[in-house]
Amino acid sequence: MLPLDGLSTYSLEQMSDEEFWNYARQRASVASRISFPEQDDQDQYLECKLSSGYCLLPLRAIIEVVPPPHRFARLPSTPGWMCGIAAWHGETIAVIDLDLYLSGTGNSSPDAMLLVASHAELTIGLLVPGVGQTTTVQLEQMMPATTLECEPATHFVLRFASAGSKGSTQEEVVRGIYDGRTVLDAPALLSGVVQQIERATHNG
Amino acid sequence: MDDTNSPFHQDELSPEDLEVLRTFHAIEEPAADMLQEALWPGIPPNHPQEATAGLDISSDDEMLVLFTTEVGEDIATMRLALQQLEQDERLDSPAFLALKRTAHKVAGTAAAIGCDSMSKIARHMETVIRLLEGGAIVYLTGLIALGHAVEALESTLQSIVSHGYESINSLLELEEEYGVLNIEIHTGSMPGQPLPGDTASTLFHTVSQHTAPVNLQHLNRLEQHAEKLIELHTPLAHAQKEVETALDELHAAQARLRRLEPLLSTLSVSLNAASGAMNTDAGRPPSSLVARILQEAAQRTGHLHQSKSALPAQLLPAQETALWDEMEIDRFTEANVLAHSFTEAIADVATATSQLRLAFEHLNSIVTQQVDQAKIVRSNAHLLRSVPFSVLVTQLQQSVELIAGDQIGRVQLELSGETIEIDQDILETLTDPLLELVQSTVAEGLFFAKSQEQGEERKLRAWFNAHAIGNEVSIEIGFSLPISPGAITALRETVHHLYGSISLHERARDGMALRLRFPRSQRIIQGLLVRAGGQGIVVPFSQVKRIYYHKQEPGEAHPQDVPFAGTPAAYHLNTLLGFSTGNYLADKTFRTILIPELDDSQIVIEVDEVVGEVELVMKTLAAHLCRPGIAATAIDGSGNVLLVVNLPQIIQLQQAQQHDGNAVIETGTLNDRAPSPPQLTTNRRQKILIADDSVYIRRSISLTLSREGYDVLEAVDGIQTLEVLSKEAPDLLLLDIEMPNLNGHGVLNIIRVQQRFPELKIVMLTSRSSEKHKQRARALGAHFYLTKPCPQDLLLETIQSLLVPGGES
Repeated sequence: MLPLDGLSTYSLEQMSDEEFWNYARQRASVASRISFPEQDDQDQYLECKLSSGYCLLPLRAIIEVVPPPHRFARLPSTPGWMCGIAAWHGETIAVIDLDLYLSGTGNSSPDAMLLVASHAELTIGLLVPGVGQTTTVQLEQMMPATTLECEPATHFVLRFASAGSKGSTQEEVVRGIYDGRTVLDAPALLSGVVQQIERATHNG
Repeated sequence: MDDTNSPFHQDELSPEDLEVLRTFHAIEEPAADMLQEALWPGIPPNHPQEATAGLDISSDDEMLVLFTTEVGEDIATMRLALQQLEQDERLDSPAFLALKRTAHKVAGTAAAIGCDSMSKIARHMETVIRLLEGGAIVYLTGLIALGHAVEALESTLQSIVSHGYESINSLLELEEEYGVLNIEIHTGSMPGQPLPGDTASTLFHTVSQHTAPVNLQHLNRLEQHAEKLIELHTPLAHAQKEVETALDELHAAQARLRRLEPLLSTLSVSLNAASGAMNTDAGRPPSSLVARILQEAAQRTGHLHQSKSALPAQLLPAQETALWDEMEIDRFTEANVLAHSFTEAIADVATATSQLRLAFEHLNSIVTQQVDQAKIVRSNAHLLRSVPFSVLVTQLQQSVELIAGDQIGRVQLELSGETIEIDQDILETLTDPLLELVQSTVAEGLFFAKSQEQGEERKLRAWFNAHAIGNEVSIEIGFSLPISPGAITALRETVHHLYGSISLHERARDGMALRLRFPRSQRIIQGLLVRAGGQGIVVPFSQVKRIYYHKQEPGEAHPQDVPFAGTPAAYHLNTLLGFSTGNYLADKTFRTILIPELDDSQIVIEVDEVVGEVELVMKTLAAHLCRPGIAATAIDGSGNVLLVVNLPQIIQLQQAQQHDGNAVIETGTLNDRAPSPPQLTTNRRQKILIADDSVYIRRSISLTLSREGYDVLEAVDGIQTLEVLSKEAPDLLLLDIEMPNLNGHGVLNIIRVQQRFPELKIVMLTSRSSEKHKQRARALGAHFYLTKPCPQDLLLETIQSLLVPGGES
């Protein structure tokens, strides 16, 4: 059962019908956002260090974790958060600075790693300042992203979400908060990245 | 065979053929017009600007009626076409073209409304048509198969009309019948039959999007070379064994040396100890017998005895040369054996090293052979994709004959280099613009000659020559008269797309000639590896005329600011690519300049340095990474990604920017540039033109867009699309590929050549989903590519993103 956000049963009783149903609708929308298929319950996630917090990426979306190449080839008309392109298994993939993409800030780190993530034939390199342990996320314990205000460690998501110019998929990128870390939705993240890289050429 | 392979060329048809086509078209249009009249009384048919006025259709039933009516008409067209084909066994007849186009249209429309069975049946028809064109099935079998498909379409449509849902039974029965006819409809082939295409004339007829016809001669050669490559495994294994043996011997020799080392150390220690003892006895020999003999000798000769040690000098220091005992022979033998063993061990190591070196040389030789053989195999594999130039020449000849008609005697054709092998993709890409060039030039030439001639009959001379040098092919097309600038522009675009170059040569007496240069293969790039702004960039050889090293004099102005080497402007490649420039020009004494292979270029390109020549496999960029001026990427031996640039395209972009008033990008990246000025300065409604031959598709999209507040225009074919574009200046064009009169690619080509609609955004909306079509559309200037059936949200999102002022960042 979802927490009542400090509301007691008595408070519920004091509500008018309209207030009650508004509240119910609000709770229902939250519930729908954190309800996932049964098979996702025990998903493994990789902890990634970002400059302003930690995030979790589903392991099933990550094909490989490798040290980043010495340098990336630049491509014209790309967003500022795109590092460039790199060779991976004989193919050319786009590499983005995940920190810069999510929080707007990015610093080079000696522990930086390149996560090669893939979904639906889209392969993207995600450069992160560091990676931590893998962890099992109990999805039923995951908090909705709307409670972010209470999580200082994840304030980058707020900045990310407030950057409305990046497209309409921002809300979908964050699945929720688990143990103070932001759980990212890899398919939404990758498709958003690809969409913005593609559109950058029209703006260039 | 897809639509790019068989564009509908009206010029190739006789007046009778055109009349038949018009009849087919007339069958379709009145029905649609009648329907339109019923739905929107008072609005003239095909009147784009009023097509959506007062539109208020919200009922799904009405859309269903529209769909069933349209498909019913299409089925009638198919039946008529099949009747014609029973009489006229020609695959290039108008009836066959009409059947093909209608099947494609039904497939797209049915998919859009969600009638999967009907769409699938229509796709089966397209497959059968491809098999017929490729010669994989006989004509009669093909007609029977198509007849069954039309019946299946009809009964499925009937199920929708009668029961309100689509029955799958007809589709299943059809697939069963195809099994009886031995047609593998899912793979698009006939079991047990070879792939068609061992003759040049059928090389362009692809069996499906994923298979290509193969030249059997090249295939046999490829097999032979591949076998040789496999045979190299045995000597390679032997060579490796030799290396292993040599290594073992080397290890054994090393082990012996290790064993000798402590012995020598012990000996040295004992000798030192002995030397110490000798010193204490002041040179007295340890043996009394020897001492007595020596003493007697000294008395007899008056000389003291000198020791003569046989130990090697390296084992005994100088002061120990007097060290010997009474059994000197024993001492000599022991040391000598040790020294010999040591020498032998050293010799063994030397021998093993020598053997190892030889083995390595052998191994390297074998590996080199293998690499060479692999290169041959790769080259042969590329040849599989090649066809002789004669294929194109034949089409050009036919085109000239068609245009000239009974005046063909006045046209003199000269051909050479017909056997030169050229990549199929290249030849296919070149075919349309070359045919256009030849047709327009010959037509103009004959007309001009006719009006000017005064009794004297002058022949129009045309020549097509092909040459191959290394990995490059050069084609010269010349006429004894001027060539239309419009046709040259279209051809120039195409050649640049092929990473090639084009130059115009005027001849005082002989007219004009176009010389096209491009790589023989589009998969392997041979070019200059240059460095610009610290990045490795490959420039194809065919795009560089020469390299020029310019010595910068002290105080000389920046070449970007002044005319350089007689040209108006020199740009750094880094700047042209939109990367930040930095101070790369600061302390350079010599500047490296590339002179592009262009006849009218006003730009020369500066690079930091030319590193060398490279031959690399090109990697196609994923759709989201495609950028104007970047042809592909390549990966060097160190795993670095190199950009393969299309120099003419980059220059063209630069010239377009200059033309727009954006003279030079001095600094900053393209990313940093301010967004383009808003497209719309007033609050007028944005206009979208839907170009699609399907009434249902047009209406359904029109409804969606109208609800979103757009003004909607419609066009039923390519020609009408161009007319509406000229009159209405829409903001965005939703363009189908398969359309009558002029297909989508033709429309794109004309828009691009005319350059009259710089602000127009173009979204392809088609059921053609292959990467080849996408690439071609992008190359022709389309901004986005969507495939049918397209989700409404995606369509709207795409349109919004393209029409929002400044775009989406």
